[in-house]
Amino acid sequence: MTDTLKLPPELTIYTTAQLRAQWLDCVGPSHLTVDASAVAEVDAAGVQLLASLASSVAQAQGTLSLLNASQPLARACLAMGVAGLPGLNDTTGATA
Amino acid sequence: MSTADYDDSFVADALPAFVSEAHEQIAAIEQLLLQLEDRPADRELLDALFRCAHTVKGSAGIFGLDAVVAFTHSVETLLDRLREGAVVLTPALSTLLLLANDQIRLLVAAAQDDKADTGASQSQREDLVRRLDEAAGCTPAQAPCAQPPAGQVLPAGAVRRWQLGVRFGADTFRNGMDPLAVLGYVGGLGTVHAMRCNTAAVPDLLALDAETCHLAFDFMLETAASREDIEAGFSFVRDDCELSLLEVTPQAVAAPPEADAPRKATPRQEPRGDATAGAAHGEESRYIRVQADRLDDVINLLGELVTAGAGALLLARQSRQGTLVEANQQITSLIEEVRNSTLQLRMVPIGETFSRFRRVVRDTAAELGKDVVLAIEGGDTELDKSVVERIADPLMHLVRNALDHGLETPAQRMAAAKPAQGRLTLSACHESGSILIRIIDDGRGIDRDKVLQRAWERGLVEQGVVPPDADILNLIFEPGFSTADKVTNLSGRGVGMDVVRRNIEALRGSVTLSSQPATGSRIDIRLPLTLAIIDGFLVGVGPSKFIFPLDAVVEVIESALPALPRDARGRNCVELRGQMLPVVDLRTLYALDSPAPLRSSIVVIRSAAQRYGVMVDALLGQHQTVIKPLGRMLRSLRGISGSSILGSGEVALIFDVASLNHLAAQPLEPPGYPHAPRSAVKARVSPSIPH
Repeated sequence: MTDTLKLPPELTIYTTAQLRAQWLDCVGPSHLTVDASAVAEVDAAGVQLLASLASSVAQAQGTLSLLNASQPLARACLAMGVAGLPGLNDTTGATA
Repeated sequence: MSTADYDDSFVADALPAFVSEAHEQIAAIEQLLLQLEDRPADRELLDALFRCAHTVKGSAGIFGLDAVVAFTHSVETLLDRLREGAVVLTPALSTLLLLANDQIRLLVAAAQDDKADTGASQSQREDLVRRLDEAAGCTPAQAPCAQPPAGQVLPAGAVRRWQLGVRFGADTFRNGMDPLAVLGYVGGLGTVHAMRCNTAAVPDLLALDAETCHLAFDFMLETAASREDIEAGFSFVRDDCELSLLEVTPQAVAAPPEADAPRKATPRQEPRGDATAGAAHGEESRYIRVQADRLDDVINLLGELVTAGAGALLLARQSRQGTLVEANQQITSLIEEVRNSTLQLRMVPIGETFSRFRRVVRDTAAELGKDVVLAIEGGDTELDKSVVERIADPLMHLVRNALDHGLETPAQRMAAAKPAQGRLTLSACHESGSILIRIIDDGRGIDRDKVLQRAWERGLVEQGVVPPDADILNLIFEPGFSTADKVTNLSGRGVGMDVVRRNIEALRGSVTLSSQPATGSRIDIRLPLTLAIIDGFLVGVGPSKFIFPLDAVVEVIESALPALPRDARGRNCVELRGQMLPVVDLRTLYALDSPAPLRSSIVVIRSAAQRYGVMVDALLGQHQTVIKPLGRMLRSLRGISGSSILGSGEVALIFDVASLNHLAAQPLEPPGYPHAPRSAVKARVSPSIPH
């Protein structure tokens, strides 16, 4: 079973609380494809939320892959040293 | 020297690195000063100059080399005044700074060897300090006030490496702060490496409060900014973040305390300073310092590998197993690639060596009352480091010689209707597998009659005998020859020119001199690109094997004639596309007594601007050739420069194409030629291989 999660254009402190609640449903022992193409604005809180999602999916024995990371998201992850783009796979692996 | 306060073993370990880096900075200072002579107001050069001096001072501070710090400080103060435009760089000032730089070099050398710093140099140094301070416009009484500004305005001192660890406080997001922006700002101070986000503390979605920050980061920062500046980057989050900031030694440079004072401007307002620091960092990270010995070891091993590889390929061929041969061929081609890239590691541009001569030319010309400009061409031509090292001294001698004997004083030049300023050119270029270095001057040229007269006097040539023109000039390279009317302390003692030739020949190179009276002289030095391994072309004559450097081989032609025609001077020759080509018959030259085959091949070789042929029995193809020197017995063998061991264990002799060219140009000599001992070429055992 494969789920797809489409990230919104804004992945910042202003949206993270709301997104967290929405994303809880995506966590499960399946493959989650995260479509990150729409992300236009991102900050450290947004990246932290993604990292949390990745570790939650891993804990639930699921897998996660990040698709089409937009420029702003890719740049933010690179600047923050979040490993393994595209896919955030390494983060998943590290916490699994 | 107050090294007592420092841990002795640390100093002992790190001191050589400091000395070698300081010498690089000192060399850079010299080059910058010389460049500034042409462009005295060039701000970038002045900035770079200041940075170099500051780096030397800073790192000397770490090692407690107080003498270096104190002296360099005076230099730095003056350089700072120059940068501000308060003092203008005059030729006299430039000379003073060059002398001061020499003094720094001496002091740095003294760090390793206390004896180098004598009482005489101390008084000289005091004098220099006085003159530097005067030039900077501060009397000794004012000196203390000059101290702080020197370090303070520094936009980019030495680049330092910091290891940073930062854990942002839980309320960071709520306070409206974005760690991403903070990292971006700090990254702007220099270059960030190995950024790693520690997400271990981030809870899973269920437990996560999305507005609480759980992030921590570890990274390296290379920057010229001070500790305070880096810490200032975190000032907005400082209250609730854990920050650790460690300077990574040893190549790091602890700036003297004053440099750590708060800077007047933020880094963003000084993009230029940061850009420079970034560039400097880029340079640094692209290089690794490796001990030359280690590289030499690798190259020696590689030589063994090449030989062993050739042996394995030969065995594979004998076994007639297709797959084995193929596998071996692949290994051979890989070895070849490894060989090329390994040798490439040792290649350095010759320009560095050339630019050392700027100072020599400047000082020597001034001493002799001459006006000479040095032109450098082809400075980016690369050759083996070991060749570069060993060619520097001979070049130095030749340059001095040209300055002393070749170039005239301005008055003499005016009288000869030449521009008052003499011109000395150092050029380098690649030419068929070797490097050609030229030293050209537009001086008075060499007086052939004077040379001949001297040669007669010295008994180098029998009284009354007149050798051909080209040979007369080359008498200069004979031992004990000097044409100087008076002996100067630069050259003209008659030592040197023969040593120069010997040194160049020891590198398997050659040196020739040509000269036009009144218009100048030119010295051509040809050197092999490397001393270790070359691509060779293997040929056979009877059972003997020979190797040509592949770059020198132009083509191969078939010859069905049993005996070659001879020209008027009794040389063998063939007609090749309408031109006569002299041909060396190895069988005759080295008195090989195997029977001549019915058909033979002629390998056409290029040497300098000429071509000649070499008659051989068999063409055995391309061969990776590990060059081994000839044993003492065979060193006098003409036309041969070295030997190599083949895969089969046989020894092949490597031709020296230039000297073989001379042999080709000479009429045939009777068999039993004294330079070619019969046994030598037939020898199947290794001719004493020292490695």
